[in-house]
Amino acid sequence: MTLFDDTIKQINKFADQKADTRSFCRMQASDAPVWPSGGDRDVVLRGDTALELGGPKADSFALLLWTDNPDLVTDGRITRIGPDFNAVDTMNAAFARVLIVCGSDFDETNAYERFVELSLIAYEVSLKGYMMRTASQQNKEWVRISREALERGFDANALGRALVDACCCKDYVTAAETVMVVGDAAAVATLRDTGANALQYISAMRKMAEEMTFDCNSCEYQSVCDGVSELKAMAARLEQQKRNAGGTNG
Amino acid sequence: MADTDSAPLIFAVCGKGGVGKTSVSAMIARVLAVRPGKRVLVIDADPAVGLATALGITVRKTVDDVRNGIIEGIKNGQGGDQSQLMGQIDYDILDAMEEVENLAFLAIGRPEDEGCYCRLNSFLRGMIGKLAANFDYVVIDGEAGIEQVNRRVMEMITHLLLVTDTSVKGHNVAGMIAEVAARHTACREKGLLVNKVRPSDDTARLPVPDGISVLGYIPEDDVIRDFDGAGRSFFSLPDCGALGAVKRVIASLTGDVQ
Repeated sequence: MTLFDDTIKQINKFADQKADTRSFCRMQASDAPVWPSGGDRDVVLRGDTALELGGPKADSFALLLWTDNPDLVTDGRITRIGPDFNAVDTMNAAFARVLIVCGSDFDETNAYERFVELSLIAYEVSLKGYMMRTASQQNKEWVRISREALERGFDANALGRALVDACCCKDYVTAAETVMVVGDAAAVATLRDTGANALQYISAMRKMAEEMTFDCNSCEYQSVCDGVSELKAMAARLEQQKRNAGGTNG
Repeated sequence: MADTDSAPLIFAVCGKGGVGKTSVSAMIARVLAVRPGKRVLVIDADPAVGLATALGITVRKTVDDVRNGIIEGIKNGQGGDQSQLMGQIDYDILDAMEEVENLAFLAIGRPEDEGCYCRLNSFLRGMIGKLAANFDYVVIDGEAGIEQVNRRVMEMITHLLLVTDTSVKGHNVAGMIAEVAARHTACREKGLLVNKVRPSDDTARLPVPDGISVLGYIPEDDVIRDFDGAGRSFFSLPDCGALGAVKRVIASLTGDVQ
């Protein structure tokens, strides 16, 4: 699928442009630390918190993109824009996390299911002293890092490695990388603007997948789908499926 | 930081209205919260949210507010798929949680309406259960019984504390709650906390329901009455007879050194 290829290119370009900034960092996941699991307990209380990213008090943005073009994804790459967790000079900082996945056989029949599955990866990552909550309707993310974890060296690379490794556990994922923005509200806003089209596509897919009856002619995403052949194909397939199953729309 | 995998001790504090459940819950929360390195979750299942005041906490948002916000979102076409809904609930519940050092406080607010949005209610209850597992101790102040709290937490209850005053009615209600609880929980321990006991009361003559042991007697205490009346936080409660009695009960139930 090429649905997000332009957005991926723009995000990579944005990250490359930031490469000269002082607190920019790129690392391969294989060189990043492996952080111990947090087990079932994933709540970091405010009293134990050294750093809060995103959440209700600071801007945040989370996005998952996929492609089947291997040239667009540098497998295992972790890009951090902004200071590392131990160098953030405020308790509440802006945060963005983009996961970019290259996969095989993504098509209109499985794209949304795989999107849901890959979205859940962020929840499955359990790291000691790290807590994450996400409000995916608003693409907001809320991270807390405990004092103990920060003192022991938990950093963005450890988080990035856990995310990339978790993505690569899926058999259809051939490569994964992540771009994170820490403590740079302007960069978070830019990433959000860059991802705006992708969010529209995801919303359109979600509507197709979740609503039992949909009428493309009255759908608010009609113009979005009309401009993207893969979304049109997905809508046509789902409509056919629902018709076959005895749905009322048609 | 809390131990990684040990299950929490969950104290459900129940009893007839007016017997002093909220004060007892506040004292239990305080006794547990001062234990070094331990994390305490307090769930106020009383719509009046009196426990928040007793702990000096201001409630910004209740679980009921979370529910209503999500229902509003669903009505506006922002329901999303199951994973999104779960994520949203998880996010909002954490946002609704008030935190003071190692103590977290969650107010349930209005009990859920029956019939509507059962999937949402079920997710909410499940999320509270998942949240509870993050703590060393959970204290639940029930409105009267424990049914309204949530099935998953109810199944996790380890200690059912039936608060009564010295009245026959208070003891009878405690007995009825114990009967209901026996059908829903397999709690490790249940027993009576007899509150507001005056020196003139003959504790041997109190109508203790069959099959329930008395865990302790909490004396009527002017300090508690004054704090309650003034809406002062029980975290600034000085040592007093009532607090001492609660400390002894909790120490014997948890087997921990104070």
